[in-house]
Amino acid sequence: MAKMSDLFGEEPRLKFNQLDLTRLSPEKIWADYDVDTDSIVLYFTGQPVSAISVYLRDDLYAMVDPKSKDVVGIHIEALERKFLTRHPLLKKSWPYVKQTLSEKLTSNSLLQLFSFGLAFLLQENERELLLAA
Amino acid sequence: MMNALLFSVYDPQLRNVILHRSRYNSHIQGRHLFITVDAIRATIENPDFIANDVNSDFVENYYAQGMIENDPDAFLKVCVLFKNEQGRVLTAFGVDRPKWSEEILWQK
Repeated sequence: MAKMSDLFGEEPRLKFNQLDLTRLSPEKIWADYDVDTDSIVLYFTGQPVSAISVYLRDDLYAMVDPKSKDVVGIHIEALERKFLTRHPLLKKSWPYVKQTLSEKLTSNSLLQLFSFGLAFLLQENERELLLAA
Repeated sequence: MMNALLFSVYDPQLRNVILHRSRYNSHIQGRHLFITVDAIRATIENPDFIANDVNSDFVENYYAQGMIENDPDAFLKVCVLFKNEQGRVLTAFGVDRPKWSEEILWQK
């Protein structure tokens, strides 16, 4: 069976500006975890904005504003199933964060703090990807 | 009474796929701005590709190009969970291109 990489390659199509989180604060993060898809979306813009998810690798997407080319957020699939197993420190805190989540609380403070740490961890560990393009 | 389903349509392989109003309102619309019900429906009915999902044997991903405002080359990705011959839309969002590790199950 053909793979998508056979048609599209493995490099992102959409080029984006370098991610810089130096001025990011936890209250500026809008985050949402969805149990059904085991995915987390976090925006650095305080609320969701129009964005295209640019696939990098390992179920990680940079969310890019197609006009400005700024990275406005991060989208991770298979958070519990795969991502957290690669990041033991986050995995340790996740059960406490998850416990506080409910359908009506998308951006509670624990999730914001968790996402804040997650964003910086990605900026450090995935530097070559997020500097990408 | 308000209909719990926003649509019930058939994909090119004649499989029934539904979108629950609650799923769209509480999840898709809140997370991914400007992803409309019409665009999701059109992607199911007339995709460019259907691919497997690398994280679940029961999920298939539908891709259609030209559905995203401000980026005509982008694809709308719609993730559908299949159980008992029926598919249920889980999520939908814009991507710059299909995930390269996915295998193509169907192509237009």
